[in-house]
Amino acid sequence: MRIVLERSGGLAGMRRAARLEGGALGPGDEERVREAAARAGFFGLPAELRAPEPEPDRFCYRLEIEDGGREMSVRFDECVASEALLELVELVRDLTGT
Amino acid sequence: MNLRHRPLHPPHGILPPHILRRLAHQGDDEERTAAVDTLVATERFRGERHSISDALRDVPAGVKRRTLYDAEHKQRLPGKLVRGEKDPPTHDAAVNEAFDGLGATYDFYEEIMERSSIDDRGQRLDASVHYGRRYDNAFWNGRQMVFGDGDGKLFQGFTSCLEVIGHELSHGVIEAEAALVYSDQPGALNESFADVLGVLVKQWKMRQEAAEASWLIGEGLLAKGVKGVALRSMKAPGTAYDDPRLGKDPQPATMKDYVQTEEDNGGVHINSGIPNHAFYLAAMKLGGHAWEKAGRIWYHALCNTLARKSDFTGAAQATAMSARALFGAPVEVVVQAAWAEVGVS
Repeated sequence: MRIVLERSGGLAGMRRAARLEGGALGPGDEERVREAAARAGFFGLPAELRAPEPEPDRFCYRLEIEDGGREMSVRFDECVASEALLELVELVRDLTGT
Repeated sequence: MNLRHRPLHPPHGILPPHILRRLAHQGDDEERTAAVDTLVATERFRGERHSISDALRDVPAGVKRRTLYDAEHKQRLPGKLVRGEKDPPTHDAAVNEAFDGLGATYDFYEEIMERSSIDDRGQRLDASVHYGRRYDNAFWNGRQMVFGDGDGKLFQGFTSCLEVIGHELSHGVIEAEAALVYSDQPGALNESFADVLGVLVKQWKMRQEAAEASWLIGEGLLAKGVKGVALRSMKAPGTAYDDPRLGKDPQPATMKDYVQTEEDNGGVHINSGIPNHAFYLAAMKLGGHAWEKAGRIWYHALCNTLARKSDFTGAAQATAMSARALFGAPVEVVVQAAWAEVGVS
């Protein structure tokens, strides 16, 4: 499994990036990611999920997951992400220490 | 102006305008302000502006209506009500800091800019603290302020920083006035006006002259051990931090270093360094308290001479026009020179 999380925007306007691949995650954690991705419908999302008018100082994310041949990269605004998608981000933040 | 910024609290459901007008004149404080709120919102919906409600400007000036909520580490808003306008301080420092910061921002706008709250109609000020987990951010969502607690390692809580509170509430003012589009150069201007107004709230509260002020945004937000002093510097863009975990402050001070990027809505928090520095230069040249001349000029431009899609050149022209209108040609020249120094003509 490969996971890449990039974040920009926010009040501080700082860029954060994290990457996990090549067996960095144990099988238990990979399964947690798989389940969270399924709840978020991640592999069925469009490549861009943007707010029609961006809200000031909100985060902008790009999340990429590759898992057993399936691969998806989604750019999205925090303010239009579903609760499940935000929870997937939180899980990735926990696992990558970002 | 955007309807979504106006919370409707009609006390008795949907009332016809003539009854609302009666209430607006005769009801108690709460009823009057709620009635005026509804009238104003209805007018906006029908495309009328500044008509009926101007005649009914009965919302008393200087009346703050602050309500604080605890989001209890969830991302659902507003959360649990914890402090209203008339309530004493609670045990939660974040609640009290936010309460005080909202008040100081309101007072600044009222006394210095003669503006009654964010919408200039006494809009209530709602804020939620403890939003999310390790949420290293604060924002205004069009209806209320939201504060995270920071992650404790890189960022501390956001409620302690007055210029941050001023910045976020000022996004509401910007939306109500020029409504600068939040991307690329107009977005960087949007960010810059929020920074300018935010630091002015702080400088005013501390009675600092331009020369004494730090001109930093987010002073004290970075946790101990982080190599940096703030999120941004208007005095010296690009120097606020340089830390192995955060990276280096990417802000340019002049146009020659303008950053082209797809991230951050076209780098709105990055390229804001350029107009920020122009304001700093103008304020320092004019001397005294920055809010007296430079601040008034920038606010006048926001309300009168800027357009939604103004770019940096447009902002230079707008602020120069406002400078001339308010203070005459010599001050216009100072403003033009400040923009020229950052590479904008």
